[in-house]
Amino acid sequence: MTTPSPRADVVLDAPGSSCATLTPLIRARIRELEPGQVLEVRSDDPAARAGVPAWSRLTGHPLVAVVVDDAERTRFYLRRK
Amino acid sequence: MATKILINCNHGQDDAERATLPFVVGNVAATADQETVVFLTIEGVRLATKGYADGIRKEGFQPLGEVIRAFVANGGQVWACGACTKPRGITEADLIEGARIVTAANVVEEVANGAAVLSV
Repeated sequence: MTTPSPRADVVLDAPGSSCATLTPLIRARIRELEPGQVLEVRSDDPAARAGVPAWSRLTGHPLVAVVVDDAERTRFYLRRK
Repeated sequence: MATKILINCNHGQDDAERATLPFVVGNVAATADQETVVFLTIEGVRLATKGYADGIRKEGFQPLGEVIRAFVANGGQVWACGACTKPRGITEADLIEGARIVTAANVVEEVANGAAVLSV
């Protein structure tokens, strides 16, 4: 899924984070945002394309956009609920 | 999300990877707002004691002590099987924050009430 990217309030640059560490990092960072603010997550783990949407569904923080930059890198835009 | 997730761990220093992965997955679950318990049995119960996990690290993973502390800080619970702590001389006084000794009946009750049991 690739959709136009919204403006991010905060960026989480997470190169090297795997499925085991990325979503805990997202959780820690998104808690610092105000409701409605958008967190941009930059990942170089292709598996995050499955993991981040699952985390969004579980927690209820909407995944408002996904931008696939290349075979590995993806930007996810999550809105704090 | 009402379903509790139980993850069994029955290894300690004897197998660093099998000791670590349940807490890694548990931390992912806890940080996805899931009520999560790592249920320790056999040698795994030693992980509930102070200082024991700090010497365990599997290449490619965070040090286990750090993973367990993150898991607990994120709301995860650590349950140690009482039938396994007793012969090893482990008591409540030995336990890390967030851990407690439970009985098999506690685990069976959770499963009977719909908890999901995950083996990793």
